[in-house]
Amino acid sequence: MNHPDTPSWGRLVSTALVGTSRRPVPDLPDLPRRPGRGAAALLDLAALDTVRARAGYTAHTAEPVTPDAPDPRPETGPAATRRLDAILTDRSELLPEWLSHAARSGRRVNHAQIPDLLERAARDSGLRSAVATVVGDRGTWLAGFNRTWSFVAGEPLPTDTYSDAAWNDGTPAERRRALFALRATDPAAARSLLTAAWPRESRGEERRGLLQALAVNLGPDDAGLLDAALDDRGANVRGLALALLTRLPESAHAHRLRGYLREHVRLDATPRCPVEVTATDPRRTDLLRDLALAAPGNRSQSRDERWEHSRVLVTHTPLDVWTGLLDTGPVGVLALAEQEKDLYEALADAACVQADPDWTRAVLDHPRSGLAHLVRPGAQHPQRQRLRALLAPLPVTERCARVLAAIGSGEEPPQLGEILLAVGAPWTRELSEEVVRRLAAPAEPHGRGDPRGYRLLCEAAAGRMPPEHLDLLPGEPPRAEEEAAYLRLRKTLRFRLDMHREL
Amino acid sequence: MVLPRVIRVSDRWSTDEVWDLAPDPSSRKAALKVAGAGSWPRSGVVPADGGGLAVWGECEGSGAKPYLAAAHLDGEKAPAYKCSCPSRKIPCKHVLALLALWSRGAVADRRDRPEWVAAWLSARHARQERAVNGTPAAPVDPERAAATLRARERAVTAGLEELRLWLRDQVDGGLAGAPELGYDHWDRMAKRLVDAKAGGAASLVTQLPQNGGDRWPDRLLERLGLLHLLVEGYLAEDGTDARFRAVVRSRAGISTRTEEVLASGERVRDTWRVLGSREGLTPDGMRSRRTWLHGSATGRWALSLTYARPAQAPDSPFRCGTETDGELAFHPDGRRAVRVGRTPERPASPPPGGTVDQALDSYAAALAQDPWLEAWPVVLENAVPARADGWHLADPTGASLPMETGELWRLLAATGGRPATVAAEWSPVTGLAPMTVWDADGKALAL
Repeated sequence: MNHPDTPSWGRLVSTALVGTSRRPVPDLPDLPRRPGRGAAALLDLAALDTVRARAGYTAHTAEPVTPDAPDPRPETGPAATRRLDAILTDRSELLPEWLSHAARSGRRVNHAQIPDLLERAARDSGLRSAVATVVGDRGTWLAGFNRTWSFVAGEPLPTDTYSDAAWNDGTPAERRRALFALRATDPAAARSLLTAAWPRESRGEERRGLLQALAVNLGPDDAGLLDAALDDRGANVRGLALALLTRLPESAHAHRLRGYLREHVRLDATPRCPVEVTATDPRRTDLLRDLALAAPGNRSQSRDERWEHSRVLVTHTPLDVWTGLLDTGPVGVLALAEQEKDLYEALADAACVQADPDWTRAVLDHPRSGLAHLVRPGAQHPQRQRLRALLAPLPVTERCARVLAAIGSGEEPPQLGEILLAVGAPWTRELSEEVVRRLAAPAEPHGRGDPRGYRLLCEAAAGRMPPEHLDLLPGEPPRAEEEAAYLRLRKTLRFRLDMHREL
Repeated sequence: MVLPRVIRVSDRWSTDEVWDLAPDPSSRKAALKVAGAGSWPRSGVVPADGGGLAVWGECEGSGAKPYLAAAHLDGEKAPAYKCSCPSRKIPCKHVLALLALWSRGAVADRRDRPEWVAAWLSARHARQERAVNGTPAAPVDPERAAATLRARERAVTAGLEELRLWLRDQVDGGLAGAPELGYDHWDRMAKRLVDAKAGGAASLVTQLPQNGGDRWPDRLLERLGLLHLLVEGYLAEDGTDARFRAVVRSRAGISTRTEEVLASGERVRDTWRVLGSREGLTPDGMRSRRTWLHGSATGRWALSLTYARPAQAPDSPFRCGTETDGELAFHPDGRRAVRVGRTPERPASPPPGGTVDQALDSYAAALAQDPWLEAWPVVLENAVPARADGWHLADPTGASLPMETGELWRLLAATGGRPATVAAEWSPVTGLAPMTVWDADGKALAL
């Protein structure tokens, strides 16, 4: 489209390539004869042909795209739209919060913001569900033209409805959304559809996408299909099936795991180590299958590799085996397992994986590695990485109360900011008050206060403190040397407060 | 006649009028972040010395001292701004945020004012008094100016004569070896032209070896031919009309200063619609913004060009999707124009547009005025995104033009594939580049 396509042009070009000193300018019937000769004549003709071709450019024909169905939802207000622009420009850490509020408001984003949001969701799968909701049908339509955005089509929306047509003849994305919609209203019917279709689903990624629907309204009757999925060819499918089965402690699968574990627990091994889990046999295919583990190769395994199988067994087996075997509660089990470090860690993992509040409380209350220990200066413990998962099964007021009790009123715990991030939102007013009290306290003399800790504390409060608690914060920065971090905290809270009002 | 906007203390602007002042979209976004009342512990609206009113405020920022921002809104003149922040944007985000707060009624009228506000206002007032009573700056000696111009024209003529020989040498010797030539082969000639003050021709020379791909012989011969045409046109001296002569001079690099354009350029009064703008890079790395305007009554096209250093955004003297009643002063080429005074802008309905064939006709007519034209504004009505070998924009007759895909996704997202009015720049070389789309409610979206 960008060069003259006239009969003469090719001859002009070939003459120019050879050079007018070696080849005469051709006589061209469709161009006027020029008075000059040589290079000047050739350049004149080239200019003439170029301008002629540009001026004579003719239209193409193309197939118009099929327009999308109108989205009946109202758009977010102008203030919220401008705020999203500001967030997309340089406050992307607040994007998830904006998106979740917008998704809850039942409004859609301004259409022009859709490409930017899709681009971000393409890079960050954690945003996908909320982005799919706010971009709506226009976003799905748009993503149909760009493969990197294809994930949107398969994201279930609360407004989706089931139809036989979509399930029987739809695209993989449409089938997935139909199944999710049915699962929300009639879990049993959705399970029957999936069970019937399961053997014919040939693509692993699609099977996984469909199986994810069972997470909605998961119940004991789903165990059969999930158990079958443990034999799937796809490792991702097997992993998902195991994760879902872990939420069904009364399934046949769970009882088999209890059986394996009982076989491997040794009590009263030594007085110093009253309980331990022995290594599993790497050739036990039934056990490997039930834990979605790949059979190890032929080479000999290190101690860590062998323990890995036992660890997976401990984390996925319902924890009631332990209370039964040892005839004590979670606190007692942890006390007995304490000397066996790997086992203790695996039990803490199990509490997180199974989201069992009684067990995570027991881990958090542990005198030597619980929450009170973690906030102490110099404490280094794997539990800190797990803190979020340990707190997650507890009601939010309890989470806040536990952290509040642990930090007490004494010395400033190091990494308090990090611990507060694990609490999750929304903080209780009491927790906010305590954090503000620490922010407002003057710096400790002799430079003992850790400036990095103070800044992390500001950042944690900026992101997690309910913005309506802004009134607790004094307007003047309490520490001159940390003024910037403090003012940024106030600014972020004001920003979030405005954001909540707008949505 | 432009009606001065009479401002009383009670006369607040609308928030949209405030955002109109933003030099670019990023300023507005930045301003939004400080446009909460909490950022402004102290602020007020006071009458200004010499008329109008002043809005002032102290913005709590990240630094130890607050930023002191103020705006003087004086009905007949353009607003004046002051801020203690280091930003080079005018107005900066603090002033914008302050005015946005004021437009929402969140800045109180008061009588007292801090020392720094009083000092600034009284200094401004004194300067204005001097300007009214004193004599204007002496005009440049017309004879000297004419002599300077003649000297420049002689230099350009000499440079272009050398270029003519060089161009012919290239074609005489044959272009087959061109891809092997190093950049200095082209840069040497470009530098000679810069020395000869023919900057326009120089940048055309630097573009000669650019991205041809497989078709490099075609692209190179096209560019050589057009450059030769420019040389011939410039050196022809007579036989061309004054407008064409001005086009040739400006393409060669003889520019006219804005003050001169304002003083003696052709003035055209109309309701000017701002069709849209595109940013680009000049060959020497400056950022440029081309904004296209169209006169509703005269049908005249006008191009506003602004430049900035790489790290800064070029000024946007006009806001996309608005219209303004007033005068533009045109450069001698009859295309490039500058605004005369500050005329109020208002949101405009979608501009009248046409079909693809009409757009191509208007491009061809423009090419007759300026064969070196690179991009030309077109407005397509009821245009829909369409697909052939790539993405196109099609009109209701089914005719289409290939699109440059830079802003494709925003255009698709905004229209949903439904017919819309689209203002775009057309180039047969790079395709159709949408600048503005008007949505179903007639609201303009800058792409």
